[in-house]
Amino acid sequence: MQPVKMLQLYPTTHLIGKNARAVFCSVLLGKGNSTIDIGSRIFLKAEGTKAEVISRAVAQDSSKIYARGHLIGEVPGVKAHLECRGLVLSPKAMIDAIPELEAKTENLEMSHEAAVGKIAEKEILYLMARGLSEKEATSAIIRGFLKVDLEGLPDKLMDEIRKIMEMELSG
Amino acid sequence: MIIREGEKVILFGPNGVGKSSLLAAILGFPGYIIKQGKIIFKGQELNGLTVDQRVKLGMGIAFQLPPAIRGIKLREMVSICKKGISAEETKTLSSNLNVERFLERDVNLGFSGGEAKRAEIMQILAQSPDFVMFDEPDSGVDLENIELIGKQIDTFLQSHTGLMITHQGYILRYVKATRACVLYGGQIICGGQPENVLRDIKEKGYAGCVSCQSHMAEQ
Repeated sequence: MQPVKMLQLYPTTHLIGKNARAVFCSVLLGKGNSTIDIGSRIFLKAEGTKAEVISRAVAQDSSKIYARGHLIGEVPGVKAHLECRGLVLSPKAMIDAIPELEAKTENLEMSHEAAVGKIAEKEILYLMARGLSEKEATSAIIRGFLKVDLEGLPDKLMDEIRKIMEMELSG
Repeated sequence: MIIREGEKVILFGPNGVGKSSLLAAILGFPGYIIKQGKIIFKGQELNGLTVDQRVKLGMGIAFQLPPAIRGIKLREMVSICKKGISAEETKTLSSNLNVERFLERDVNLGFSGGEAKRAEIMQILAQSPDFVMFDEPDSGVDLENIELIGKQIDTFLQSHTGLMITHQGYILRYVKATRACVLYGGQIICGGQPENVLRDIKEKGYAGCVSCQSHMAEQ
């Protein structure tokens, strides 16, 4: 696969039906000189609505990844969560996590969790103590990191995503 | 410090004296520099070898505080420890250690102290290294599970060599150790029969070991 030059994506969902639910899941692998600017925005406008934005970003080479998420709660009682995790694997790569929570009324539950960093050395050593080389340990951790439950996707598409990821990571 | 094949040695010492550091140095963790002396395993000098090279020679460790790794299940860790392990063996091991319900969970993520310890022992039993270091396998573990862990470790050590750090020593009811060492002030200052050494530490404290050293002859 050739790295893209620039990829932008910012779908917006309006939850207007009672108990409606939206989940956005992104798995991003930045390579070469790619700039990946991806986010999603969800408006929670009806009673009992729920929203979730999940992203995993891995930045290699000199790639730049912007991981955005914007949740807007407009009625009481709604629930929204934003989760953004990133691994920066090269000194020239960059990840910018931009989570936004906007609560426009009282009595709602909105949260976000963002963590960007390098692979923890302790985790690599843990796997090395079980017999993996440093390189094997690193790729096992990256594989695990990118493994998210992509709910609702057809199995065939899921398999395809896994295959591409395996290929890219082992290459 | 010499550990002969088949020995099960207990390492005592106050908090912060360097017991875990000693284990980390033996296994070659980065950040631990051997300024003096040598570490020799099976006749081979280890200085300079990486952690995984030492593990391939037949060493292993059960961590005191193992890290959680997202996306790697306990089941996968076990199959890293023993390549090609059968589903049946995994099942038996996990039921022996009472961790069956953690097999499909990310390793150590949200595990309680005792659960993480049991998962550690399970991994090390699967890995089955000739020489195993146990770093406080009993701390944070309830009494029933100390018995469970202790018996499993004891059975394993009947055919392997081990070095174990423990503070309370309750686990020694189940693990038949051959010898104990006391690390204090950067040196092994005493050693002997584990029960005797532990009794004296309880009575006189570690500082008392410095002036006493009466168990040296038991070695």
